[in-house]
Amino acid sequence: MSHENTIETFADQVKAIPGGEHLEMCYSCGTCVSKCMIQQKLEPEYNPRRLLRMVMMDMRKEAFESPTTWYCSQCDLCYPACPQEIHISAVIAAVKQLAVEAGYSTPLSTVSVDESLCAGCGICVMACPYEAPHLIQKEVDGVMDLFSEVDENRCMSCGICVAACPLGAISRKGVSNKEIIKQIKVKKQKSIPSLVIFICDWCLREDDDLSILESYPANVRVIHIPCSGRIDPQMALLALRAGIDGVLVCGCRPGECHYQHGTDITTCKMSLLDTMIDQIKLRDHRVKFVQIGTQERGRIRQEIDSMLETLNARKEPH
Amino acid sequence: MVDAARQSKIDLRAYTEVERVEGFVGNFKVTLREKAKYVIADRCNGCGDCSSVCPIEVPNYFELNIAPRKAIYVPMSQSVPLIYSIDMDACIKCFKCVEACGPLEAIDFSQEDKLVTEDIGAIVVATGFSHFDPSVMEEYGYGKFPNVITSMEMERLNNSAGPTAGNLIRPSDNKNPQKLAFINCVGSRDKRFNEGCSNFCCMYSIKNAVLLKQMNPKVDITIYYMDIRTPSKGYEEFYDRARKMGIHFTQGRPSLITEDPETYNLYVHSEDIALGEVIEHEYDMIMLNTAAIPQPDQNEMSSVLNVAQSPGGWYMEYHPKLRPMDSPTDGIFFAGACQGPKDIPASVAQGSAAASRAGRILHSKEWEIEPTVAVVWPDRCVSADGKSCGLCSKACPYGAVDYAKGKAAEIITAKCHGCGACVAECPHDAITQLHFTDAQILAQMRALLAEEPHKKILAFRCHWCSYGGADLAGTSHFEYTANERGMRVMCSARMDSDFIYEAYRLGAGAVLYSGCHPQDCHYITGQLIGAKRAKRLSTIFERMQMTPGRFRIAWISAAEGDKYARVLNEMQAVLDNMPEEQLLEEIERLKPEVTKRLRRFPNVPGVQEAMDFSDTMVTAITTKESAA
Amino acid sequence: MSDITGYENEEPRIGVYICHCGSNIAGVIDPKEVVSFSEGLPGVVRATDTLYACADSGQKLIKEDIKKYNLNRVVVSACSVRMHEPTFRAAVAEAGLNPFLMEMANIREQCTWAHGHDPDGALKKAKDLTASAVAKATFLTPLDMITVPVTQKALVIGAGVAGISSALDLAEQGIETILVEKEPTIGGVMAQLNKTFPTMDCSI
Repeated sequence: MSHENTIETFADQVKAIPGGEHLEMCYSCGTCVSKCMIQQKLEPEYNPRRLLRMVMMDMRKEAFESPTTWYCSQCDLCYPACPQEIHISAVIAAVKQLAVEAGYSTPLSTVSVDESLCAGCGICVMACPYEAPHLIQKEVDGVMDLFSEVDENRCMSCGICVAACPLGAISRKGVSNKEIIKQIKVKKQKSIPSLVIFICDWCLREDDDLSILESYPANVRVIHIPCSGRIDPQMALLALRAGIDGVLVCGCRPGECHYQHGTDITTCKMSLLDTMIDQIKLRDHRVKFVQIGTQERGRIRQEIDSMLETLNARKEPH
Repeated sequence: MVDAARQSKIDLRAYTEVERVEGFVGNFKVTLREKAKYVIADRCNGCGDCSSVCPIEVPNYFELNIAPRKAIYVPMSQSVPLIYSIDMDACIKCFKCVEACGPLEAIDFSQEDKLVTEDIGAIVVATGFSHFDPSVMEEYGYGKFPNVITSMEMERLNNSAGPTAGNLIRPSDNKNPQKLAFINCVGSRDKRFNEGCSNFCCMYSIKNAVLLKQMNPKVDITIYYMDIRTPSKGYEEFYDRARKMGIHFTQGRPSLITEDPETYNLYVHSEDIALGEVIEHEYDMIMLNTAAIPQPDQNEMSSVLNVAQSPGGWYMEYHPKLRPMDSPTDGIFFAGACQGPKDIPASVAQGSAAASRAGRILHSKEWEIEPTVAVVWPDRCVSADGKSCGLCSKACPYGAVDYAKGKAAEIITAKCHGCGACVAECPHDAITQLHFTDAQILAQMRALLAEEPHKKILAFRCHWCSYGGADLAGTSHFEYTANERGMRVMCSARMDSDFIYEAYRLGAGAVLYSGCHPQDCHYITGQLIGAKRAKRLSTIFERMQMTPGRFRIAWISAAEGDKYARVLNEMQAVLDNMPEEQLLEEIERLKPEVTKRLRRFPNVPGVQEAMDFSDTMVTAITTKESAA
Repeated sequence: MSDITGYENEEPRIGVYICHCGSNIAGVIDPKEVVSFSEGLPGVVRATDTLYACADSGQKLIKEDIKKYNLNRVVVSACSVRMHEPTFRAAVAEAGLNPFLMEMANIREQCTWAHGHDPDGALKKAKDLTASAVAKATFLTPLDMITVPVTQKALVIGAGVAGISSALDLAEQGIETILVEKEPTIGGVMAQLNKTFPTMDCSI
């Protein structure tokens, strides 16, 4: 009468990993797919619902090769939305773990560490939401020293460590310090204020809101960054030094950050920056950080307009 | 509705609540609270002159609070009965209504709530359901975005008798919406709120879509759904008809609604499951098909009626297939959505079915009830010797014990429901319960623990809940340890301390003491008595330094098969974690302690015979088994 | 009150019936083993298995045996008392035995269905449960149902569509019915609806 199951299915393996247990509760409603922004913004093939289905159907190879396995940044927007209370990102992480064990690796372009600059201070280790960097002992030029090394399968390419590194030893293609600084220039006009906007790739869900960004004339410069956590306060100061009137940093509402807590890191950084600006007696309200929620359609226009108005009021001679 | 008012055999009592239900089948005493209307029913002719002069406006519950009513009101113009009442919380006592009523003199501010008691033979409970409030689901923006409404609100907006006389307008600008969406399963099939399916919403949204399309074929309607469930006759055909009319059906549960701050138009974000793609569409107005949930006062009513609730809060029937209309209490029946969400045809059918079940009783002059009642041995009752005791009477949930110092206690058989609380509570073993005597129970225990008792888990279960839970574990094939040996008594209140001590004296590995959750107890307060005793036992075993987990208390409802299996498996794990010698050593160590507490047990009438018999039984079992 | 224990009144003659319930029980354990186990238990004068104890054939077997073996107690090892206790009580009553002299052992819901993957454990348990039912049966006493008078009046709580339908049916059967509604008007949710599906007629 024994019904002992001797073959371990893909689903069994995933369910054995903590977080993967609730896999089979999925009834394919698609809430997670539309709650997530990756399919819209990054990868059309991204679909957590289908990944769960692949696991249940024993489609190992397809699952390991699916972008869903690699692109999920565990923001967990979907978890509280799931009517079946499946911790979807944990299931995906379980699939990813099995994929890595099977020799697959991430298709994402990840950060790189310049060993000639790295001092092994470990700030990146503390900053990273994914435990991707870790310190290793290594002999370079005959000297044993500590260096940061990044596990590329963990790195989600948010760039928080790039901003955190005090020595500029970490870079990410497309948003290295140099590449960002190069963009900080605005065609200034006498009568109207100039503004630089650093905006994270995820806080504007709707295409309509993105087109609002493009609707402003040349006095408003928009710089896209993966996460508001990528912002280094120095960049805001650089902008002000270049004679730009204002800097607006946009990130996600707390709890909705695509990289778990990038937006919280920015909150800390920006409040430090505020204190610093106060100390050096630069006039107020020139740098602002706003956190935009997924349901706040059209808020970006209000924020830019109100910033421009403030700057305008400052510009007008009294 | 009108028929009910016209039927001469129906005594209609609107604006009345059930306060108390006592008694038993055929002989219920029901206390009703007739709430003060401040209008004399016999004099009010329903003309409404009072209402038209009333200066106060408050939201009308009947219109889902989207339209006002006066302080003196009827909920709708077709109200049955058409008698006005005054909402005293809103009334400012300007007495304009009194003036308007004039010579009819129907208004009486001195009225008070009236309590009336009725003798009733059988009760049909048809208290219905309530609607889930979707404002807790932030993602859909109900309460924040004016054009997101519930389907019940739409029902009133689209109703010719409703506040807009059937002109469907959207709240933000009173324009007729051209592009609409319905979202199904809002708060239902959702573990965060209500796990169950609300049964009728699929058909309900299709109906509303068809109605709108009939009124204006140009409107564009989309229904977002997870599954469309059309299981009754004509339903699938109705769904077909809706598709033929051009109503769009999109499979995919929306994750988010956003609003354009200028136009107040709405955007639904969902995956189109068929395409596997995320879609975003714009609508003028969105209707949420909210979950059916139990009435807010269902818990309260469940204790008034003394009936149990299933997980989710609905009333629980005696047996889902064999006796679907019966409550576990004889003479009380369920009909309609109070027992679980259901649509109109099913509710009507259940109403008739419950009437037929109740009719069996009501057409009889006499009714038979189980004779498993308590009986006193007068010669053992100390009260007869002039000592004061009365513990039996204190334990009885029904006031069925006639106790007075100086005479032996007596059980009023007609009032006794047979829980056995008095039997187990009597310190002098002067009461027994027919069909569940100490001798019978002891003989059963001895047989169950005849062989290798230290490997066995003796599980005491009450008939109504945990025995049902064990049944459900089996029907659901939730497997648990086969070392469990089940005992059944009617209520946890019958689980005498002596039984538990005796189990350990016989060398049981573990003992489970289980019954209903307190609010579900079939015998009102029986479980409380059982629970108190179990707790006392637990303290005693703790003091004896019994390994924790060898005595376990668990309240398991008839709907918690999974819990029954889990509890038993956890108990097995406790035994598995003890080396056998250690367990046997502990059993031996505790034997004198428990035996001490069983001094009086052999004196209970019948127990000595049961013990003698059990010796024969145990020998027979062991001989048989060793031969096998 | 000596008849409460009943033991001294007559020697028990117990018949034990082990149900296969098709393969529901017999698919996990061999009922014949429980039969041969039961044969040696005190008071048991007849033990046998039956494919479906609740079927007409099973009930007939029990009824015939009561006469043939002069049984004064019956034990049915089958399903839950919540399922078939009324069936077997009625069956023994038809054969002239007091219905309360029948005892059931639940070897389906609480045995073979719950221990499908532990047939040895299930068999042991089925034997113990049957022995326990035999033990209880030995001490059973005949009981008569208690008759109570009936007030021929109904109360329907809630005047929505289910309550109205119930009250009308009761009233049309000639039963005085009180229909209680907590709101000022009857009709419940139904009265709030526009048309109703699938016929699209009015709700009121």
